[in-house]
Amino acid sequence: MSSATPTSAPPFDRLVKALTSTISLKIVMALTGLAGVGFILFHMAGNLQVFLGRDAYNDYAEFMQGLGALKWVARGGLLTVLGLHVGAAVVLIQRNQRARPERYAGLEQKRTSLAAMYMAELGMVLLAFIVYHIAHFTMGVVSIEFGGVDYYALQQVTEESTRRDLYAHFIVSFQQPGIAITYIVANIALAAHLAHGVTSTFKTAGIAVGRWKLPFEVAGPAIGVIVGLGNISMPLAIWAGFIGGH
Amino acid sequence: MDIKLKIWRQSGPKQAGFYEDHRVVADPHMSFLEMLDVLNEQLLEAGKDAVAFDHDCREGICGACSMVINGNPHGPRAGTTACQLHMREYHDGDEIVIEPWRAAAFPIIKDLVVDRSAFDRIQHAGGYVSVGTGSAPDANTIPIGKRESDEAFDYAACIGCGACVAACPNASAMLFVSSKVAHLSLLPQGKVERKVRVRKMVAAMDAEGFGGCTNHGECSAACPKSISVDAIALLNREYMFAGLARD
Ligand code: HEM
Ligand code: SF4
Ligand code: FES
Repeated sequence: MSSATPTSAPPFDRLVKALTSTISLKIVMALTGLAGVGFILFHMAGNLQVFLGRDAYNDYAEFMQGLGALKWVARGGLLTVLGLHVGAAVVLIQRNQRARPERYAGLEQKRTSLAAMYMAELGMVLLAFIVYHIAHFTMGVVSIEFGGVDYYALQQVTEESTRRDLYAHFIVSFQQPGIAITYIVANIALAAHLAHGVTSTFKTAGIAVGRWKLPFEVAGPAIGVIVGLGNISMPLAIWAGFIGGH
Repeated sequence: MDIKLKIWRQSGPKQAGFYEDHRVVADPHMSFLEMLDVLNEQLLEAGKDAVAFDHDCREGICGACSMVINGNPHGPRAGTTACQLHMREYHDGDEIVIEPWRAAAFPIIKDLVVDRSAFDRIQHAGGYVSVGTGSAPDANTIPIGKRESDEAFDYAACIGCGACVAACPNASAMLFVSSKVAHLSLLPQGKVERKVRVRKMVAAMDAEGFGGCTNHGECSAACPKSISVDAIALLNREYMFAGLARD
């Protein structure tokens, strides 16, 4: 193998090489990961309004539904971010596997964490969950009919308007143990992915060094726990009959 | 002390390897490599092939003594090369598994010896300061801050042994490359070429087939010079700022 230096290559090849270097791809992972964390925090804050009751939650849902074009811009952006994150992950994982073709009889691990060792597997769980989640809430493909009532299509009738009763769909969904467990498991995976990922992001970005290392080392697990507990609190509270009743 | 050994044997780069069992009576004062010398004497006396292992200085400065000992590159002691490890770390009857660095970029030559010239090629790509070679300049003519000089010195301690690659779950060479880049870019003499250097060294690193950094931190734990993972963050920063600057 010879070391191809970027000097001799034509400008376009140089650009491609520079953008697909291991470090550039890691920077893509970090930036897209961080954008994902931003979205997830926003998404969680919105959904936690389920604790405020039917009207508050349906107000929020109606507002989000009414965003029109903006909603599609956001969806496009999120899809791009996810695509870049997964794309970069696939390339990096392949490179990493090729770099160590022969296993050790045993390699002692001293500093890494389980979460760090299983980032790709956790990511695959997340990807599967994202597909399921969109099929469930956005598209209504996960059928939940109770006593002949289609909760996805259910409407809330108020004095001013008639609107979709997403609150009812939300509650009824998580009253089913299968759905509640799926969401709980996925959010444990998310918490683990972020526990390593967020700290890693700031190391990749070259910020978490020296005296700044410790705060960022705490930030990852902290955000993981906050996101995990916040998201899990909803299916758990509903399943336990704490909100929505039975 | 009676030591059981399980050692990787591989007669050549293309041959299949396997673990071979041996017994050695060692003295606690022996260095780890002296214990292997004793084993090799036994093997040669019995008319067998000695275990090939790399070594040179035997005082922790050359970086040649690459071997993974019971799952630890350079053995169990933090900040210590295999040659500076002593048999007093072990007890009578212990079993010790010894295997080579395992990385596609470090192909095995024989037994425990791997070809680490990938590091040389990365170094040749930019790990130097170009100077007009007159006579050596006077000492202390260029003032350098205490912090910079201490930090640069810490990174300059890298002996290019490859334990970081061996320990990394991705066989990444980021700690090696970053300590070279950080060491040179912190000093005024090295600042001139910093952009070109980092781009060329990273390109060379990728071309050699090392993996990427997932921030596990295993490299630093295995490094016989205890180089901090901060070097990697500095490398990333250096690389970002270098952007697509012209040579
Ligand atoms: C819920 C959406 C997701 C979020 C918020 C997220 C967030 C993150 C963050 C912040 C990082 C750290 C980046 C770094 O190390 O600098 C990361 C790394 C990673 N993510 Fe995700 N991720 C998500 C989904 C996925 C998916 C679907 C995959 C698919 C395989 C994936 C695979 C990975 C891998 C393999 C890494 C480690 C990359 C490396 O360190 O080399 N992630 N993620
Ligand atoms: S960084 Fe440490 S482990 Fe890696 S080559 Fe240098 S001295 Fe060896
Ligand atoms: S033989 Fe030189 S460092 Fe071990």
